[in-house]
Amino acid sequence: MPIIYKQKVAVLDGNCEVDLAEELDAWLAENPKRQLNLKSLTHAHTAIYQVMIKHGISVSVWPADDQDWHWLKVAIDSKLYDEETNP
Amino acid sequence: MSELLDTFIGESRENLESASQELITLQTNGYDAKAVDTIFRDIHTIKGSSDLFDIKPLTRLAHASEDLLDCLRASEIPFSDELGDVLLESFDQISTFFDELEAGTHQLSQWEGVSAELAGRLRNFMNTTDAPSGNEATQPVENAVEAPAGIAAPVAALPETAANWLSSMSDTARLTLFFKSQESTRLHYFHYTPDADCFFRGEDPFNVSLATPGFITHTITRKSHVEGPEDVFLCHLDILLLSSADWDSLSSHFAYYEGQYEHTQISAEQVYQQCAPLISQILNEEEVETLAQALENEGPEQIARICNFVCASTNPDSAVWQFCAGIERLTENPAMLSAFCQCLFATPDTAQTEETPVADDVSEESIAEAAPTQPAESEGLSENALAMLKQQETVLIRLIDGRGNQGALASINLIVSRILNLDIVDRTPEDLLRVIASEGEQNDSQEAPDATDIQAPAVADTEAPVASEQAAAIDDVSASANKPVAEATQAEPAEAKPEPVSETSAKPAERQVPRTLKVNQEKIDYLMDLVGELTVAKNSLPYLARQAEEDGGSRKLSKQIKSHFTIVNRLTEELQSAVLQIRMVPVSHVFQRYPRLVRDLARKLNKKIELEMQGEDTEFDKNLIESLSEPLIHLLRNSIDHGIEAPADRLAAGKNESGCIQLIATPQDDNVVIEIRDDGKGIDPAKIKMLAYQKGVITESQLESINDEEALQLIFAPGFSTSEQVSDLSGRGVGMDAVKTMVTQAGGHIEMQSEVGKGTQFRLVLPQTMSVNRVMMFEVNEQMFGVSMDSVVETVKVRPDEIQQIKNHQVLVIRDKLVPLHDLREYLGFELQTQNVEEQSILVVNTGNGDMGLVIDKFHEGIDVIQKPLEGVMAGYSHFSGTALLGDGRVLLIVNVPELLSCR
Repeated sequence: MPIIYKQKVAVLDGNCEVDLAEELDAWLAENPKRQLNLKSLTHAHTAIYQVMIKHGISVSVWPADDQDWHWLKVAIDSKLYDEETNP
Repeated sequence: MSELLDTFIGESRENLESASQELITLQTNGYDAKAVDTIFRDIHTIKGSSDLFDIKPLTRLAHASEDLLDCLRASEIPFSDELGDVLLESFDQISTFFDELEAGTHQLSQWEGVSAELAGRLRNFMNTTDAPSGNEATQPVENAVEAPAGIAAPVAALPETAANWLSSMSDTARLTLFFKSQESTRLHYFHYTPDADCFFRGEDPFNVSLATPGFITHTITRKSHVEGPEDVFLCHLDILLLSSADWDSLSSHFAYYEGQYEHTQISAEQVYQQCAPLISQILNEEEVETLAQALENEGPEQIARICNFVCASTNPDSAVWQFCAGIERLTENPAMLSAFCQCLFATPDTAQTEETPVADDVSEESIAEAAPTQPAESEGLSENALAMLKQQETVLIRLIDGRGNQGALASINLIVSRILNLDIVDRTPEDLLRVIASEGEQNDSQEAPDATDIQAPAVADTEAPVASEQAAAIDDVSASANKPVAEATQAEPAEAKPEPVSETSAKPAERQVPRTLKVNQEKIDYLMDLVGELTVAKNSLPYLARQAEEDGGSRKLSKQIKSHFTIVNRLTEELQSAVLQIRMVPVSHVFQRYPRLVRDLARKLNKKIELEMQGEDTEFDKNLIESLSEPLIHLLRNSIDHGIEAPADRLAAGKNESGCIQLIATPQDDNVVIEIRDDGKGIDPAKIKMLAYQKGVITESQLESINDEEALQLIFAPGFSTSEQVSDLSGRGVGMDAVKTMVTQAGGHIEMQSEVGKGTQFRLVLPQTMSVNRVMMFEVNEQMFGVSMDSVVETVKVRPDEIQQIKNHQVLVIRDKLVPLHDLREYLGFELQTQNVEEQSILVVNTGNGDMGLVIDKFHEGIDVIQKPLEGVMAGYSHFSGTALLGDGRVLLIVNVPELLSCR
């Protein structure tokens, strides 16, 4: 299972394709405090990233090579910044 | 001609046609970077392939065209009509070369002269700094930054989005980017805005961006405003991307995302401007004071030593560390270091200056030449050649495994011999594989020194303790970018050099390549013929059923045959539809030739004409569309030559100086309507009548009696020409007659309207496909005839007393509409019916001039037939449009109603 949904955290594992975006979106929409564990994520479709950026997710664990994901941190931060400045 | 050469010519013709078409668009609409890229790619492909066949004159001409286009792409020279004309001339010449190659009449020695002359003319445009004279169609220059001395190509101003993005980067990220830009001299900035529905096309924009050749960094943001419901499967992202790769590889990477991105080439100087305040600030800091002095006064070795020292004593996360590490890398390339120092000290307060600081004596070329990463041009095989070798290798492995077609071995042998410049001998698949493998080894060993050179800085970096930490210090220029950057740095040759297929360049891009198969048209035609035969064979089943019932007395058998007929009929229809779909091509296939024709003829006649085309996507049977090409050329020539007035005349008539010809294709039921409209002087019916009388086409009495509409139709009469002066374009009196004949032969008809001073409109109504026709069968004097179902309006049965007489004509009133009647017995030469009948069968048809009723004896069913043209003694008999074979073996004559009725 590329995404395992727990109560507060969803664990993304391996390759997450476009078809998982809708479910992830719904899960994050239910509770904005939910987090994502990206430790084992190796690849995700743009639609998945779009969902993450849309919800300004909080990441509980970044992948080991977290430098690779800096762009996502920036994208999420800019979303949060937008929300704070334009509530 | 070898199969390989055949394929090369076929594909090159397509490329050439595409290039010519884009060039005409450029000349019409002005400079367009995308169009230039398309033309460049087309010609690049032709050049690359022609090299494999050792056709030197062709390669030389294609190469000169490609070089000129490359200069255009880099904005080194402006585009002008004159330049476009010479390019078109070159494309025409290449096309002529192909003609001769195909016909086998080529003599390369004779090509040399013309090829050299044209190539010289093309290169003249590159050698002159002055823009050639001619109509100005230059690219917009408002975005261009004036090139500093020594830099050949002006580049566009940094787009606002890029400037904002760069200024929002952290200091360390900006510095990393800055030093990378120093290495590349040119960067490519992309604003990639994926289409909202791109996910549905299987696109993955993030990974497209990440897989970009020469990827440096990117940033992804959500669009600030999302229209409509926010669907997770609709893409609402913007991607800003920087790459250091050459445009060739970038354009091919983004080839499938046309229209989704904006591209700007930016220079190192522009990035410098973004970083200048930061650099000034760093240089003022105490710890780099000695470095600032060294940069001004010392050589590379001393500068490198100081940088190393500063790096060792500062935090790798700091901007100072990043700056010194960058300078240290620059010291490995004295030319680049020199350029940087010139920038630095030519404008002490770079934040305030507007001039782009760069050394006078350091040109981009010199930087590129000095770059250790640049491989020698002559080394190794071209990208195309390597790709072809790889293909052959795959096929050979299949052959050895016993899975491939052994017949292909000779072709593979030829290809491998051509690519590797070997004697053509019959080699076994194993031998060929060995030859390819040994060449691969040689290629590797040739490239090895370069590869070492290229990788040297990277290796040095990773070995040095400070450099190993550098990667960790890179901030916004993310580590996700590090990998591609490192690869790009290692494999990146100078621009415009063919890149060997390396790991980096071979990285699979996110492309949706349509799966297509090229098939010889003859095979499709044969398949279509078979479907036709099957249709005829299928039609025999109802006759068999009737025979089984009437002669054999078996109603059960008859029922079974009818039941099977239903199935066979459905399958045949599906098969027929599927095969027809294969032959359907868009009318653009023919239309795309006309912009050039109109442009050339208009110039020849000193007229200004715009050609507007609509409905180019309308699909047509390929055979039909090709038969249509000539009639359309006749009509266009007539419009250009006789219709559109000279600019002065148009102005005097209160019209726009430039004339307009519209070419419109519209699907209409099972037909396609093609209209050619011009806003010229129109056709004067009085003049037509007089000319027709003078030429003996009409008699004196007809001169008085025919109305204007009938007079206009006289232009279709054989031998009629309105041209007062026969030109080489039109007016020889065969055009319109020939047009009508060709259209009729294709199963269509032509209509014409014209208004003096306003213009003329031709309307060609053609069947979408000419292979299988549906006809309605009817009986006259116990003989079967057919009429095209397209022209049948309705069938009615009336009592004889309902038929009325107006003067000498019989008419019928159908739903308050007067329909003239024609007794087909009379027209077909049979005896008129004398006995009284209770009901009269009337077949109402439309011939393009309103509805008419054909009085017949009996209606029969509609049937699909393969219509064959009349042959032998019947060939010139226009009353019938063709014949068809019926299921019971009888021949059905298909009536050409307008022609038949016009004979009386």
